[in-house]
Amino acid sequence: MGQFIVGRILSGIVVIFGISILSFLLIHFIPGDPVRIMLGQNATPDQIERLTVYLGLDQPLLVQYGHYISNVLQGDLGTSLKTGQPVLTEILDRFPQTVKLAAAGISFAIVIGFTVGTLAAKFKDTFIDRMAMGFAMLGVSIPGFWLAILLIMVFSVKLGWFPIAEGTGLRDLVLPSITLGVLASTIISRLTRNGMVEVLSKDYIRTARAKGLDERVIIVRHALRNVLLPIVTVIGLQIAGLLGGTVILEQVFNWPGLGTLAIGAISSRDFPLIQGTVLFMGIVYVSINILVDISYGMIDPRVDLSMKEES
Amino acid sequence: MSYVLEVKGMTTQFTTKKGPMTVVDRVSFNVKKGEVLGIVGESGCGKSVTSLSVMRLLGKNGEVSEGEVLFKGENLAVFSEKEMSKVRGNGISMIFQNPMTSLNPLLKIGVQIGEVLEKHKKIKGAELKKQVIELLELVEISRAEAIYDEYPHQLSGGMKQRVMIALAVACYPSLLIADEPTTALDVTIQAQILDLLKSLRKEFEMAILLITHDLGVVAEMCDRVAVMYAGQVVETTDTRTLLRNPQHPYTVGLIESTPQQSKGEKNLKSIPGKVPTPDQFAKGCRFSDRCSKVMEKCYINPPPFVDIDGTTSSRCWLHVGKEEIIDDYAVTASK
Amino acid sequence: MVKYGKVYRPIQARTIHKSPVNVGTSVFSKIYQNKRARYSLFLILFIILIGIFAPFIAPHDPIEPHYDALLSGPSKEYILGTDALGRDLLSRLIYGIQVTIKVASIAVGITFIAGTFIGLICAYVGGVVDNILMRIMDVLLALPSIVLALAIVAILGPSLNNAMIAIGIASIPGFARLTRGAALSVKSSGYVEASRSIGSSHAWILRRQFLPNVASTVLVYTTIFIGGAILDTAALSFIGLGAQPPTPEWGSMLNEGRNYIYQAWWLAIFPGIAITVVVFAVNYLGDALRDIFDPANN
Repeated sequence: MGQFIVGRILSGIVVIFGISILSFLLIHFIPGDPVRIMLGQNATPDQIERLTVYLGLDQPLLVQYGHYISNVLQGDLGTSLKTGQPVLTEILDRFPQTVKLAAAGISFAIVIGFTVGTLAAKFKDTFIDRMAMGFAMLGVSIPGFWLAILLIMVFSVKLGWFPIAEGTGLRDLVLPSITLGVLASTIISRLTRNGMVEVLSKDYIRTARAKGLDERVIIVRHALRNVLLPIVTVIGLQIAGLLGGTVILEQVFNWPGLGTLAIGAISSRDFPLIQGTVLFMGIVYVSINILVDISYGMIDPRVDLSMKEES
Repeated sequence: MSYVLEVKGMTTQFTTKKGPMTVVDRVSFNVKKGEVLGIVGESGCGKSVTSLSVMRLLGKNGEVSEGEVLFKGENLAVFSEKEMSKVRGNGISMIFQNPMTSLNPLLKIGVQIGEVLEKHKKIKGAELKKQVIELLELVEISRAEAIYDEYPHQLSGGMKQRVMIALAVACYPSLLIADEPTTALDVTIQAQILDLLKSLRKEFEMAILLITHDLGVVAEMCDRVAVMYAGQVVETTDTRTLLRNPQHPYTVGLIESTPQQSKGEKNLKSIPGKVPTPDQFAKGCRFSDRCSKVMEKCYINPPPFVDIDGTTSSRCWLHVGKEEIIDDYAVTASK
Repeated sequence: MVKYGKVYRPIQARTIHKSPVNVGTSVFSKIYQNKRARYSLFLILFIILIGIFAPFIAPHDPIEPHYDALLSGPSKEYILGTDALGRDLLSRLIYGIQVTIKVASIAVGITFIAGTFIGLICAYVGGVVDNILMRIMDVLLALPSIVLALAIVAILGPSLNNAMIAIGIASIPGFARLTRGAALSVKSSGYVEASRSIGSSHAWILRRQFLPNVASTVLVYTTIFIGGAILDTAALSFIGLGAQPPTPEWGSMLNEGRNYIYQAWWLAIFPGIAITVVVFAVNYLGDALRDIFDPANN
């Protein structure tokens, strides 16, 4: 187990290293002179000169990367060109809000997804099944930001239940997390259904029936855990994806998270902040994936986390 | 003599895209208290479906559409799902062919056995664990305490089948249905499992309905045998007669195609052709196209099931005329 | 015992293990015989035709303002109402189809060409090349595709063309990995090995067995990616990093519309319906195609 975790973390570090190169290179991919683009048309040669030196762009690429990575390792992601704040401070200020939103969204998605998926499997090939899967298909086809607008129109404008506010309280969390939850639940419900249909045809489910167990026990104790296995990965990816998905939704709901930060940074061409956000999101994403892989072991006793040869 | 199980004219149908398909056709047999009845036949003859019909574990598409399944006098065929769940694992329990896939991979052995006692005997806590470990010891599993906390993948095939037996006998059922219990196991393990079943049967006076295609297992275990072919019972008799003096041409063929070391024959005989699927059943005798003693009337009318001498019954025109008719399809069908 | 490690992945490469498919007419008739595929295909063709003949169908010019009809509701003259500049919403939606077709073909075109190329190279060459390319893909996959697309837009600057390029590039790693998986499973399948064992030539196997069987899988993925590309481009335009005014792009129309949800509900409703219908049709087709080509469902 320990060996597996260490190996998984090491390979994660390699990927994060790759992301650091990517985020470092971002600035160098900009066609033309990045400094001129950052400063706009009216920049004086003196300003350009100073920013170039400040960003270290006058030095060889490898030296630049060396500086970059050593700064990153010391927790220095640079300084925002716009606010003058350290990039890490800006990110850590916003990150908890995004986590809050994503956590609420994924909880909602799991509850809805499991319920709908299990019902659809239980009533396979009936009207209920077809309805559920139709909605799941609709859920992956609907633009998230439009669903958000619809919910705002109904629940904020029409019914006045959740006023559009700038806050981050529980009441403000409801609509964004429902939006996220609905979007993420579609794939979970689909996978739950298909997994459940497959598991319900297994021999050990027949054994459970032969024991005279109640249907509820059969589904919850015997089937759901086996269905869970492939879904855990998806939920993990969903959590990670939600961090990306929140980017757009945060914009609609004025939610002060990483997404609004990133979009603001792009609009104002604040490259140190863009680089920092990309690197940070990459690290979060990779960490979640590692956690997901490790969590297999907790659900499935067969997973040999030490990767030793088995007979 | 009291019967534990009496199956009378049981018909099992599956709904398919092409309409209903009759897989088990008016099957009748009975099992006495403490008796081992074997159901024998080639794969595809409906013997597994027969056993699942008794347990009412046919799945969504299958149902017992006709006949009675009397367990201690009560007709299981009309039981509600809830009533049935009180019988399963309690009065009747079942073990399956493939122990590898029949245990839930994600639950500890102790839990999987314990939940039977929890459900039917309402036992909980420390008492539950004690009884489960006793059951594991009963099925001759060493290190029962340790196995209690292990998962199926940590056990060998033979061990898993022992666990299956432990959870099947947990509530001291009157009838154990064993569907090919040794087929998936190594030969050496097979004998051990059969010995275990025999000793449990003696200990609890438990009747066993043993589904198998292996006449060796029949010889070893069974008191009486029902031979099935194409969804019908074609011969019932005691084991001794079956092996020494089989009546129905299909049974004869089955026995001739079994290797017997004592006779030292080099070449095995086999029955030509294969078991027909339910949509290919012949109009007359279903065995007619493979039978070595086929007569013209075999193609036209299905033979009745006749009692030959009080021990043996056969569904063959060869035996009609001399003996008492048990059921006659030609007659019942025309009613 | 199965060895676990990273066995469960969300999308498993699914490939055909039947005998090789004849990619000619039989595939089309197979698709045509599938009710779901046929209906969604008809709907998509219908929408494309409306887009192509937009100048003849649209009642108004999509960009021309009507100052006498600002934010006016659905009426005979303006069937779906007008926006804040008095532009006819229906006409803008109809011209929006052209934008969507462009997005679907260019963004997915980039993904398809680069993704298939990388995926096939990795699967066929294997070894070090495979290893290096896949590690690079791993790094790119470690970012949510929308974040990767945002980063690329940040580099290139906001415009519809750049948004399409960004989304096309951001989808390459996922597509390449799926194609590689599909190709590997065909490569190791029984019938390719059987062919090899009876001495079929390399080129013959490649042309007659490998490519046709990978092609059907790639076709399914491509369809599925089209829906995603349309959604992502709309999203980028919605946050102002894609299509710029006055381009009649549905996402940017919604962005304008959400400022008027109190006065002009139609602006926030109809463009969303347009996106959802198109993406739904494409996804439905993708789903049907997967059923057709996936023998596990037969």
